[in-house]
Amino acid sequence: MTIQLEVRGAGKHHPSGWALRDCDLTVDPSTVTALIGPNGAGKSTLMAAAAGLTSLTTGEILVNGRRVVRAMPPELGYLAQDTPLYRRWRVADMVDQTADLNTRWDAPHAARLIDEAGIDPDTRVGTLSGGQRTRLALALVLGKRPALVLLDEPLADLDPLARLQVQQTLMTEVATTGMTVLMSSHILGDVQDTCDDLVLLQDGRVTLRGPVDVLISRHRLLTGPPADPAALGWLKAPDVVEIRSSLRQTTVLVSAPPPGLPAGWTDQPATLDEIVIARLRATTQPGHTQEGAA
Amino acid sequence: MTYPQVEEVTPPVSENRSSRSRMRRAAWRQHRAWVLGSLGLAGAGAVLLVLVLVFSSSCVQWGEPGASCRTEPGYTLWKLLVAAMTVVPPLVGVILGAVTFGPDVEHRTQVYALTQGVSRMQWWAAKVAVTAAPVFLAVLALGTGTLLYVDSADESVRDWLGRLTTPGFDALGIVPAAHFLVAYAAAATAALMWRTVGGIVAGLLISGLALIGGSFLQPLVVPHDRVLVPVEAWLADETGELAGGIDTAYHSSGFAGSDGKDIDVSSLNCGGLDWSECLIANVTYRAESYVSDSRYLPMMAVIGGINLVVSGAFLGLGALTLRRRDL
Repeated sequence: MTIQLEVRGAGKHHPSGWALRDCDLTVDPSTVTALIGPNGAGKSTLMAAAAGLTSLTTGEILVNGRRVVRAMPPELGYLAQDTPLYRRWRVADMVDQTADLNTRWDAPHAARLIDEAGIDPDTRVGTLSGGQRTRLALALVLGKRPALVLLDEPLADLDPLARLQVQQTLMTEVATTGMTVLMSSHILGDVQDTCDDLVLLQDGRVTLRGPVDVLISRHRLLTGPPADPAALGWLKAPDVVEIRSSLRQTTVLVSAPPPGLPAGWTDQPATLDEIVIARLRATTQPGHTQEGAA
Repeated sequence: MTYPQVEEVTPPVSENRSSRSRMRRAAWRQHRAWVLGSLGLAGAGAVLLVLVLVFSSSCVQWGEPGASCRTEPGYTLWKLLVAAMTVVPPLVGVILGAVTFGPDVEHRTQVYALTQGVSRMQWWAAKVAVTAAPVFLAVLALGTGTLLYVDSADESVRDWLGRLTTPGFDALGIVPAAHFLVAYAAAATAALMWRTVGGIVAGLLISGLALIGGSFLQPLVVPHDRVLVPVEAWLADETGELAGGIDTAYHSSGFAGSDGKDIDVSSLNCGGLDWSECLIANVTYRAESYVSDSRYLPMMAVIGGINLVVSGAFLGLGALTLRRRDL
């Protein structure tokens, strides 16, 4: 089953301000999209709104063309950041409960995922490690065989090995079922390995989005002799993401390679870390050039 | 930017019976310990009622010449039952209501439940039905059983209790169950907003108000009977018996003229007459009003009904709160 998630002009206003504003986004079927951004950028708000847990102040979120309003469409799965489960229950009870609550439930699949995570069904949920709890919660989400899963920082509590296993589980699921994934994460290395598309949220707005490989191939890191920013007129202003100067050199991150480089300048590909961090710095530090949303 | 019109299909409108029964099973799995504990308390009340029946039967001959009558431990057990029937149902309602939703709010497990293909109203209704309905029915059965016992018991047992007044009124018939439901509804709704402790505090306050308010309302919701006794006869009567008999309540008295209208005797000018002579000279009747026992069932129906309406209002507020809130 293919599914599309569309966010149109989404905004969420709290008494303290806008958590999400003018957010437009499309998650295509059978893709893995990473939602990244600093704490408070609006990632969890967007996820919760897509899951029908939070209402929007403006705009709308559509799943296969149907508006989500305070109820999660049955074809979606949602894993909350804090993995809320009944801590005093046994794992087996948690599985039975989830099976009862869902019309679609693949019990062998859920049991296999729990077994792969090394979780004893007779264990109390509260005694599981953070990583095991996340993997249990993920198994409960995937047991529904959702067409689209929303994963709110699923990798945050996991050790490197568990993170790899969860990524492999997700990738296998996507490859075998065509499942669509929207996941928020702070771990950019995992995003680069796992995700097809990237969406950067800052202050509740989308400031960058696109296929990960395209973003990486387009962004270039130019290094040259120390120079006043005013002397960099050969760069197209809209392409400049960030300029950093030191006594020894000037480094410029651009979103499109310039046609030619002056003498003394070198051009190398930028990593995803460099791209994202430069964009985050550009909005928080005055004096840096920032490009608009891609 | 303008967007094309879209279809809005949520929350789910078609809920078949099997999905409802699955949700009830899930709610039962979550709350069965509390529900069974509450039903156990109702069972203990039933055992107490049986003990009262057993031990008070020795008083059937009370008052007849030569009869031996033993009032204990029946009387003590009866007082215990009445106290328990007055206090325990609201307390159980408060705790049960608070734990039905409070822990889900505290541990955010409502997010787990509401992301499992269950609508908010389905989740709320199943939890309320599974936790409140069996306990309500058990308390209703116990209250009805206690009322039937009182109705059929010897007068000596009925002497122990005025069923028109608190605490007897609050221990019989539909009233304990209605008090349970008010406490449950208030605590459940408050717990949705302010977690378990908030639910318990609000539930205690509301159920206390319901008990106190009910005792004020009881005499106001049924008509009073009024009897006029010629003032000479009243002055001559030394028995001190209540007008209307022992099963009456909410007595008030005064004096009336020959037309039956009340006369304020504090403003009488008695001159040199003593009080009795003055009364005979100025008033015709001693007027006594009271609520007779025949008003008991209407009183119970009205007070019980008010409690049920209040419960419904709290439950409705809870459903609305859940429907509109961000989780």
